[in-house]
Amino acid sequence: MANLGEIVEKVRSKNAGPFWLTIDIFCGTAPAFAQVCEGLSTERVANIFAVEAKTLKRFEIPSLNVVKFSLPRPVIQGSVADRDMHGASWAALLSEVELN
Amino acid sequence: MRVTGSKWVQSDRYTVKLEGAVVAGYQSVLIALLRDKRYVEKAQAWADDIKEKCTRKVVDRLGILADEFEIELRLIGKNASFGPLETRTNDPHEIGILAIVTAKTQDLATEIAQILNPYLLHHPLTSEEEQPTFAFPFSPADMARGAVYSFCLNHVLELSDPMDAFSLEVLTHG
Repeated sequence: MANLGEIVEKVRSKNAGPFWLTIDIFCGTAPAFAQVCEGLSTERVANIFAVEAKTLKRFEIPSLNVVKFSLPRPVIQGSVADRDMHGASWAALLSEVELN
Repeated sequence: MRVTGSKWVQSDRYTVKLEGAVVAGYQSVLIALLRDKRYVEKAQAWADDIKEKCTRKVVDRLGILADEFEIELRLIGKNASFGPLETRTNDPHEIGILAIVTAKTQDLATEIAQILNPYLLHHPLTSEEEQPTFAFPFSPADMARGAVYSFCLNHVLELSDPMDAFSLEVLTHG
C-alpha cells in the first residue's frame, strides 16, 4: 500500500485567508487521479485534521488531474495556538496517508 | 550532606578577581519547521545551501563584508545541542530550524534576518522543483534579541595593599 505522496506528483497546502486552509493534490496522470478520487474519502481527510467532514469542501478537477480540499483552519491564522502561519505543513501530513 | 574539617588557609598574597564582558554584537533569531520527508532527510544540505546563498546576498545587497555578520542555522532534532560533536544519527520526522543572525547593530541583525526570512520559507533543494513552503510558528518571523556579550577579561590582580586598585570617596550629606 502506497502513501498519497508516493502516488501523486505534488501535495501542497496554504492559507486561503486567515480562516481557511486549502490543500492541492496534483495527481499528474489520469490513473493516479482516479486512484486518489476513489481511495481518499472526505471523511479520512477530515479525520486527519480533526475537523468535521461536513465542513470540508472537496473539488475533483479531471481536466487538471487535481483533487483539492478546503477546510476551516482548526486554529485561526496568527492566533496564540497557531503553529504554522502559512499553513505550509498540512500537505506533509496528508501526503503520508495510505490510500484505500 | 555534611561537610566537616574545612580549614581557613591564609594566602601569602592578596588577590582580586577581575571579570569583564564586552558587547559581541546584536542578534535576531527566526524559527522554522521542516516536516516534508525529503527536506527532513536533506536538512543539513538545505541549511548549508541557504547559509551560503544568503550570506552572498547580504554581502551584495548591503555592501558589508562576510566577516561583519554571522548566519547560523541549528537543526533542532538533529544536531542543535552538539553541532559537529553529535554522534547520534536518528531518523527524525520533523526538524526545527533555529536561525541566529549576529551583526554589529540591532538594525543590521534585523535587516539580515529579514533577508534570510524568504529562504527559510521557500528555499528549494534543487532549482528544478516547485517552490516549497515551510512552517513558520510566528509572524513576524524575526525576533530581535538585543545585545550578546562575551568575556573579555578573566584575570587575577595581585595587590600588595588591598586598596591599591581602588579609591574611596567619602561624601557627607546634610
